[in-house]
Amino acid sequence: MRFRAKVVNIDCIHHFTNVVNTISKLLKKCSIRLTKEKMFFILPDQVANGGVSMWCELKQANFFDEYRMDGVNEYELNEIYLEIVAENLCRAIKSANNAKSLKIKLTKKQVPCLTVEIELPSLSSTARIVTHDIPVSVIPSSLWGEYQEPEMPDFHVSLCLPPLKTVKHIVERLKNLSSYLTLSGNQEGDFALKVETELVSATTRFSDLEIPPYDPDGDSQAPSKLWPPSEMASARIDVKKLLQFLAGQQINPYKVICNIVDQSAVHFFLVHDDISLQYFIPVVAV
Amino acid sequence: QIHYLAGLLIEFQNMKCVLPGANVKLFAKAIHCLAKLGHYVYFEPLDTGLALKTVNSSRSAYVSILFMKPLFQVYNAGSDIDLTVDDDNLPITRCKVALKTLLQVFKSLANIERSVETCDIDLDGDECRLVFQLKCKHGITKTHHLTFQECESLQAIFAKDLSPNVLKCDHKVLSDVVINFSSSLEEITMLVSPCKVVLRSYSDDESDEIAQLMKTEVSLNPEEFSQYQIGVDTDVTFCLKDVRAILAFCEVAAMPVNIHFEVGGKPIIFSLGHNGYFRANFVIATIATDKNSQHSNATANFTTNTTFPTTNKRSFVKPSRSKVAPKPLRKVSAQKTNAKPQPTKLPQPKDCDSINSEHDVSPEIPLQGGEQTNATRYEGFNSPSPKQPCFKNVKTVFFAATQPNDLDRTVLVLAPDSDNEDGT
Repeated sequence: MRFRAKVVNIDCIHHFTNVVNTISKLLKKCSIRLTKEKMFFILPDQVANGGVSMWCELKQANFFDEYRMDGVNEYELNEIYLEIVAENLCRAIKSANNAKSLKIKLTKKQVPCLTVEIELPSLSSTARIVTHDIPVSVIPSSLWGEYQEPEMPDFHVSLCLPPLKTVKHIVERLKNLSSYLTLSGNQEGDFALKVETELVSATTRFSDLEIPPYDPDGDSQAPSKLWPPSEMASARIDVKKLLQFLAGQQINPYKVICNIVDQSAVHFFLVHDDISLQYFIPVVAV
Repeated sequence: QIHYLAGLLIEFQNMKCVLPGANVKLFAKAIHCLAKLGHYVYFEPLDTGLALKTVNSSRSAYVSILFMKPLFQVYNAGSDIDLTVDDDNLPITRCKVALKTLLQVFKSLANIERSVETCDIDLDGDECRLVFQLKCKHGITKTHHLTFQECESLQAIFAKDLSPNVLKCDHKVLSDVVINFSSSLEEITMLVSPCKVVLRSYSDDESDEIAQLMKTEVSLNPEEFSQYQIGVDTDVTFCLKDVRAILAFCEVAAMPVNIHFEVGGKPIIFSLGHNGYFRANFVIATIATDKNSQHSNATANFTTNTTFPTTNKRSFVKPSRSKVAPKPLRKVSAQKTNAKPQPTKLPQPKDCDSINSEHDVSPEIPLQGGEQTNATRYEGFNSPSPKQPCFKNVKTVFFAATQPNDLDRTVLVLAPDSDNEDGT
């Protein structure tokens, strides 16, 4: 197993930093899957994670100038799965704010590590080198099945969210009222955020939101035909989890698609050139 | 305070000084720095200026910051007197104040920079208060009366000038390096060799838990230092938190930093200064590693061996008033080749004592014969020459009593005391 990647372009470094920062806000422990073409950050749907799950993939060619990955074996197992503490990666990458180059490689120190090596500008002829050794655990191939791309559920409603900043401000205010928030929307572009307690109920409504186009030949899935267009599908979720998703955003996507499975789950899909990020939040039992 | 001594009427004067606005920010930042390290700040008005000192509770960090007379509009150290009267009538010239309290006076640096025009520091012997009066814009005056405790003099023993390893660099170099380390990291190791300096996160425990922590390492080329003298290839481990506090202060002082050190177990000294105006020494203990044993010592402590002055054999010195207009400390940029900053428009300080401006002279008395309690000879140390003083294990006395009569002992004085209260 071997992995070595290098970024020299400062914009790519910043871009990668944004991805790592966003991920580290969403989860504590993160699984990294490395293939020949892509790098994945995965939080699988496990009980330990409280039902939320995340899937983020990026094409390595869009970020790295050099990328070399040799997996467990050359054939079906030509991939590497690692588990890492997201905050460590975030902190390590922070050193690369104005780096000349960023190298990431898999090494074996006392334990297997992801070593981040950063070349910084200096007053002398040789650059300053910052090296971070982040301990990782290698996930054996027998468990790889748990880290597959989640299946898109049959959602009832799909719409594009208003600007995330706006939604974040609203959710931040609403969270003071209750721990649970009901997200609802319909196929006509209406969307609402509501909290309800014994004393008060507060709802913020949006209308005329964009409906993501359904391309029958493409990847997108059609919303369920059985669901009446004007009917609001809703899901009551933990407001903290929603806020984690909204507050940590540094990626600047074109749009954020919100898919709602009535009484079941909410699925966010960030659309961006180089990255795709999906985040599932299940409903909270009443 | 008026006293009769052998029929003569003698007027005592207590410490009184006035700092102009431009230098109050530096003073305030010094207080902030001291507050991160110790619980009390020891005020010692000397002939050359006002010294602020502190030591942390584990005695592993000592700070001495000397604001010299030219920085003040008015500087009156208070009169010393040769006396045979009883202790009750001693003028108070040294006191210590709780840093938590003092920090309240200088809390907001932004505010201080913006609005303080002068800062008066008076020692009110009658009321037993140290009075800070901040005269601010718009006619606002803030007066703080702080209680103090009379105290012994805090002096550290160290011989900076004999350190085989000396590094000098811009404080920004160190700040840029230190920022890469986790804010929760306690200790850091610095490894030096003639070709590079490496700073590495330190953990004193090799257990599984520690293996799971992220490790960071930064390497620097000697070219980044304006002075790079390595006499002994070594590694020293010391408290990173203390260094962060020091670097925060350096940012305001805006001067290059000198680092003197030797081997593990001996203190590492960070110092900065602007000749004739200002001098700061930060002495931090380093972990003593016995290469032969399984364990390395815990962070070395040094004990304070101070006693209250019983007899003060100080000659009567007229209180000196600095008539020179105070000079705001100009920002000095680090020059790689020419280490001496050039304050062009500032005249030489008039009442400058014999401060040797060419060398960095340790202000403290490095001495002591057999007064140590747990004195054990440092195991790994080989004196290059027989004249070398006996370097004690850092565990033992770091501080000494300041009785001038102790100097009578047959001890080699390494660095003449430039701030001797005798005035000699």
